[in-house]
Amino acid sequence: MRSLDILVIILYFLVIGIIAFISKKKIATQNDFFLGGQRFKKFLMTMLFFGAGTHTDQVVAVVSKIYRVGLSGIWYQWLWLFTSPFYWLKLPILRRLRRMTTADFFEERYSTNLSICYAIIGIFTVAVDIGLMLKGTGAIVDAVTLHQLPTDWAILAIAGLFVFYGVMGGLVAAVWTDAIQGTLTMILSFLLIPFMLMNVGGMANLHFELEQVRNLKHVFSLVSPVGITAFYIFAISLNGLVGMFTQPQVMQTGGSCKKEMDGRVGSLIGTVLKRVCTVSWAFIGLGCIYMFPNLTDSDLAFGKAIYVLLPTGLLGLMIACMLAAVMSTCDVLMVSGTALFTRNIVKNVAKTALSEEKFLLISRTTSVVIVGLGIFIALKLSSVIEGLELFWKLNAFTGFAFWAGIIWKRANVYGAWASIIGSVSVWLLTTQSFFISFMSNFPGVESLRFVVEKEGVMSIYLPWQMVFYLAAGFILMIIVTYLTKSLPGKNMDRFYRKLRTPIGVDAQLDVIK
Amino acid sequence: MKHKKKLENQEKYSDLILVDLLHPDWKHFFTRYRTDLVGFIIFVILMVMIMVGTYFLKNIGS
Repeated sequence: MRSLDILVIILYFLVIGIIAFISKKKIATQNDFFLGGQRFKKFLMTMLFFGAGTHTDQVVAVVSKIYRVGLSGIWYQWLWLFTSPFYWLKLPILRRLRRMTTADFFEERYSTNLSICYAIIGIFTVAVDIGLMLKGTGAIVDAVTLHQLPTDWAILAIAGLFVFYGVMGGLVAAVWTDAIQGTLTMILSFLLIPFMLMNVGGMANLHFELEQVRNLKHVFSLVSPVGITAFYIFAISLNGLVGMFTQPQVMQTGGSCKKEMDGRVGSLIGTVLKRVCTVSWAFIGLGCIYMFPNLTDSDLAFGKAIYVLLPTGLLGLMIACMLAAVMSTCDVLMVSGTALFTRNIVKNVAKTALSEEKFLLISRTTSVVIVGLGIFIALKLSSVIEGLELFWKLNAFTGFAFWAGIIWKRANVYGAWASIIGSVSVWLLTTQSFFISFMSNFPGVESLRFVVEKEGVMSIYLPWQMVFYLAAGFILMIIVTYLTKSLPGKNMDRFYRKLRTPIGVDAQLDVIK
Repeated sequence: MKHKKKLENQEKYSDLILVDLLHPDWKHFFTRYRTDLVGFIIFVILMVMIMVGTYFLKNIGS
């Protein structure tokens, strides 16, 4: 990196710091800190969906996976492609729930204990997600500084930056940062393409070199006959759909809009922008196979690409954008994890009303602890891809309980508990060596590929693992609900009346408060 | 009478298709869930366009 790049990074962070300082003045209540006062309109909602939903680890993971398996690795981000249209349907539900956290939903719909259970899983999920982003961005910094700042040290430096930023500004600061970094990330992602094409000698040469010279037959296949197959895509997409509602930050992103349509339009535009950006990352991944044929750590591919391809100044801007993306996204996650702890664990365990000031103080302290857990996970993860797969699974464990709570009036707390415990138990079972050895002797194992070798270790094939625990969660939810008594009708009526009442006509809800 | 019937329906159905997924208002399906359906279809079209676009882009130069 040259001095111009460093100057650009410093200037960028100066602007971001001013935004955090201004945002701090606007925070007076929990609603302001967690949901941005529910004032966001279409533009900010778009930026929230694009910026907060676009993680540095995602670009690193997509490029890394494509580097390993070819273009079909794009599904490590496109798994949300089939789920995306459902965002349009889920936004008004999240807003009409009129809650700050997903655990609030579990408390209202099922029970306090289930809410605490979700809060614990949710905080762990947040920490994994933060760890993922730190790991991904650390790999980029490692690559662009030519290993002068190793990944582990970069993780600590980035964490320090966003804790300061998040504790200062809350969600409002994150959204404004997203607006800036989201736009710049999109522009720079596409700017990389012409530089990459010049470096590899155009698409025709890239095809020739990879398919003919290196004999990589399926490198340009969107669906590979081995590795990421149609079944693989189906399983990870289904898993994404189940876990769509239970990502810890969804209530913050979905519930912070002023009107339902603001949230819907924001989700539509923000999501489309993100999926389009993924396409540019995919082509960078293909270019990396050609440009860096012998990388031992594929996580470093994207960092190396931007270092080689981008001219000075733009490299600094790209790194600043990536760091800002981590700051704003980790900030949203940190705020979500904090909300889960303060509102759903502290409040329920302490059982006494705390003042707004005390709540904000506990929130800010908790933020630092959650990030500490995220750093620990980042240092322990062997790769960004491993962390990403864990993140998908954690969201799906509580997914059926949420879905059933919305669409099935009969669903009760016993079914929800059974679904969560069943999913987690089956997942744990599929990681045990005796189960893997049992499945490897299962009739028809060759054609069904229950067991695969991954980095020298036998394990259950990821899509089958997902099918197993999703099936367990789904079946147990239905059977246990039918075998046990339903919840009192009055509570259910109140809950569903809220879902039937659009935002803006809340006066109709007075009768049920 | 007509007004009362409308209120009863309001109690039974919402305007959100996911909330009514197991018992939709088939009689007024396209009017009641219009916003959900239109947005969902636009979303699907955009996602398909992104997939098809990527397919054509990756074949350039092959």
